[in-house]
Amino acid sequence: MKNLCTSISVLLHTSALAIALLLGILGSAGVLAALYLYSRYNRHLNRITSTLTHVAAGDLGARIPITTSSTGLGRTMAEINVMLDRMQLLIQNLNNSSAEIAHTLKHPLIRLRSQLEHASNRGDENIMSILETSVREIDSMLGMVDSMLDIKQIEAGHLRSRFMKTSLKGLVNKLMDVYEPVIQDAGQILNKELTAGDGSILGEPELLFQMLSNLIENAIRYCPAGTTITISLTENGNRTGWIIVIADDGPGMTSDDREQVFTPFFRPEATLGVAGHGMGIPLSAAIAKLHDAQLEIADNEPGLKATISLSTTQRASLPG
Amino acid sequence: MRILVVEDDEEAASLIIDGLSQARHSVDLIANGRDGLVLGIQEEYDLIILDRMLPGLDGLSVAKSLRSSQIVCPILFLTALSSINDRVQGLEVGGDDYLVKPFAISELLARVNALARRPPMRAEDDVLRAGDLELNTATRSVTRQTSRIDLLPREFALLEVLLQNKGRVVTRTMLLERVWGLRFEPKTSVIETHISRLRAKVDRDPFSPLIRTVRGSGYCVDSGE
Repeated sequence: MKNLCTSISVLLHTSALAIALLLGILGSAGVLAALYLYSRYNRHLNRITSTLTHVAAGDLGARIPITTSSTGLGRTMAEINVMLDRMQLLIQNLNNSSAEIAHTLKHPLIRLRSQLEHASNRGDENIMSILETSVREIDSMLGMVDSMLDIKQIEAGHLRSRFMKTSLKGLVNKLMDVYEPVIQDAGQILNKELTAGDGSILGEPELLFQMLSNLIENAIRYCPAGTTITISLTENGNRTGWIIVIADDGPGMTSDDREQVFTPFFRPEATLGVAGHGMGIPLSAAIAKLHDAQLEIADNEPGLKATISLSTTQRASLPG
Repeated sequence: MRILVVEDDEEAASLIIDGLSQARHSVDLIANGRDGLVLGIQEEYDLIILDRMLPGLDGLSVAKSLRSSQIVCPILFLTALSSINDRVQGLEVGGDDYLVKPFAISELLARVNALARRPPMRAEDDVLRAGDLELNTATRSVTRQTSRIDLLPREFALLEVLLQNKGRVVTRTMLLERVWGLRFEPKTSVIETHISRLRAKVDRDPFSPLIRTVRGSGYCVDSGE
């Protein structure tokens, strides 16, 4: 969409310049008129460019302020606004429908689960195990639905209003406090490399912790005993942000899988034996994006390396 | 306990009432927010269980009005919305705890019991006891049969939550929330691992275990008296 918006504004700028030149050629008496027209056109074009830039940045409600609709450019501006209206409606429908599917799915699942739990509280021993399995299956489906809804809510960006000064070092220390014994019990080795600084950013600490949890739990669950899991927090080269790396020297992923793993519900074939929904990395990527950060999954030769680059100069203060 | 349940979903309500009644609580059920608010102000309850989405007046507004009417009894929110913002909003308007639907009845009962009003703290309440174990919250020390046990801060915090709820079940999700402030379900056995470490230090004698596993629910430290 960004490309489309850029091309439209370049096209309009070029044609305005051509019109102005043509008028200029018509005679010296026309020069002043041409300059006047050109500056007027330029004002309009700046409005169009600025609106399209806002739309490309995600502000789907931005529209070109129109002062005249009688000129050709005025009509074009009105047309662009109509196109933006349609596009916004289309995108809203798309967003609503997946959230709607999740909500619609969730209610019958809740009811079904309640009935089964009710029955298992009263049932005899034989049917109890069947009921317990059914409840577990439903919980797994509900887990998928909840992840979808969480991603939708994070993508909407409203949670930015809850950003606060957050210490990444504090989060990484908490991560190790929670997972160190789990890593040890899995026969894996934890290796930590922490920067001297505090790693302060504006962010939502609960979500950032969940992002890191998803990544470290992937390493714990998909790597065998003997794997070394490394967590590091360092300042980036030009001191404008922080880099968190969670890496392992386990089996890793093929390059195809590394690309696809950002798609919801995708699971690499090698991981199918371990319970999961394929929502961990998409959720982590959505949380990273909310913080204007980048999550990259790369080959650690051997193993997998997840890198999150967080900027201290993010636009966190902007409302959702 | 005397509990007011404000819930419009009949099935959910009957399940909640069954569970609470079996646990010998006395329950009043109201299906809409406005009547729930009136009853919550008029009557004296030990706990109010409020659904977030209610006809008439939504759960958040009911809680807000209850608090502004100086009703101090604990409020437990129920919500089908798992979304992160909703949970926080519930606690911000004066809710004491929340549960995301669907929940196991054992989880609801554990939270109801944990919210039960406790007698005011006294100076000697710095020391939490269960059987021959003592945990001093002021000196951060733990002893069993007078011999000192060295715990890591997280192990101390786990034991403290269990002892604060002595005689009551504490679920895994409650431990995650109270020890680390985590509000999501880990995919690895975080709580089991930490409890097993804690047991290795405080429960060396297999004949008098202090921390009991309650199948399908969580853990319980028995009174031991």
